[in-house]
Amino acid sequence: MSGYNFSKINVLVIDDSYYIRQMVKGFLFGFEVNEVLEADDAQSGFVTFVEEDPDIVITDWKMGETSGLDLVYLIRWSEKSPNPFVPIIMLTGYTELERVRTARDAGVSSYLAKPVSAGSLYKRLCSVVDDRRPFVRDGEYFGPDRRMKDIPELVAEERRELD
Amino acid sequence: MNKKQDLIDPPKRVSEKVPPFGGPTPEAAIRKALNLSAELMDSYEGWAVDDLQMLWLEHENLPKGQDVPKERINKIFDIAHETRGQGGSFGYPLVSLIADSLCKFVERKGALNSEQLNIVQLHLLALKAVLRQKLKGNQPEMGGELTKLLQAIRES
Repeated sequence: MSGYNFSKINVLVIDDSYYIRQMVKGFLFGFEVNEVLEADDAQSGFVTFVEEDPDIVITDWKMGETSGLDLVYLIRWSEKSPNPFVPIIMLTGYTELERVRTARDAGVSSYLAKPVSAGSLYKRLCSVVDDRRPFVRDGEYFGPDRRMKDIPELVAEERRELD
Repeated sequence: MNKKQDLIDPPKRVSEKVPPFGGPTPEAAIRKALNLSAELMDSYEGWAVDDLQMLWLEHENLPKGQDVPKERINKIFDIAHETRGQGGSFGYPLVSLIADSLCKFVERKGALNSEQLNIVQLHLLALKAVLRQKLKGNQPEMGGELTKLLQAIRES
């Protein structure tokens, strides 16, 4: 019996905490991801994203003066974005329902609350791989179809991950 | 009026590169992930103490005998926010719990009076106790009691 084979994908991790970046990096290498790229703020994160075109992005929300939400908007809307459809996991210490809603409305694919465990990150990676939602563009929003994953379900998922 | 929406099937999906087979089992992958992060987790106490010292310093430097404006407590929120994200991630869920309570307490306040500063200090003392006594891992009973106590303190 075997599991998901992540050996062909590259993941970009953006967090202003060196320790969180190193821990997530360790987890990802444990899952046998091919390469882990790093950045410590939204601006350098977007530069790395454009240059390296990773398969998955994991980003913090609050990063000093910069915001992961700004990064999400850049990835989804900028003409320089090599892949506006890339799965984006928001990994953040914010757990309030309003925050989840805001991140969802910015176009994130998935929301994972800190503190994070190897198990919760693994499950979330599998979840974005299995995500078959189409993308929606309506002038104000561009991202995964929000109708197919209701907020209560998202929050319930997050709460279960926290337990 | 409904906005016009375009439904777009992404031209490439990550699932094309990630087959659901051929990799380690979830249990093996998670075990390997934890092994690779073990050394980092062991060193958490050191920088947690550093963060706590920064919090104390910020608290000590707040003006006494007058309301503290929001701008001055932003730094406390910033450090506490990082701490709540890190604590449980590195094996100290009680640290995350206390730091989360502190964040909730200061985040929506325009200013803090001296009584409220005492509540901030209580949170810092709780963090100090957890780290000093190395209260690692899940502590369900203590966690439950602490959650109730901190909520009562915040709402007092």
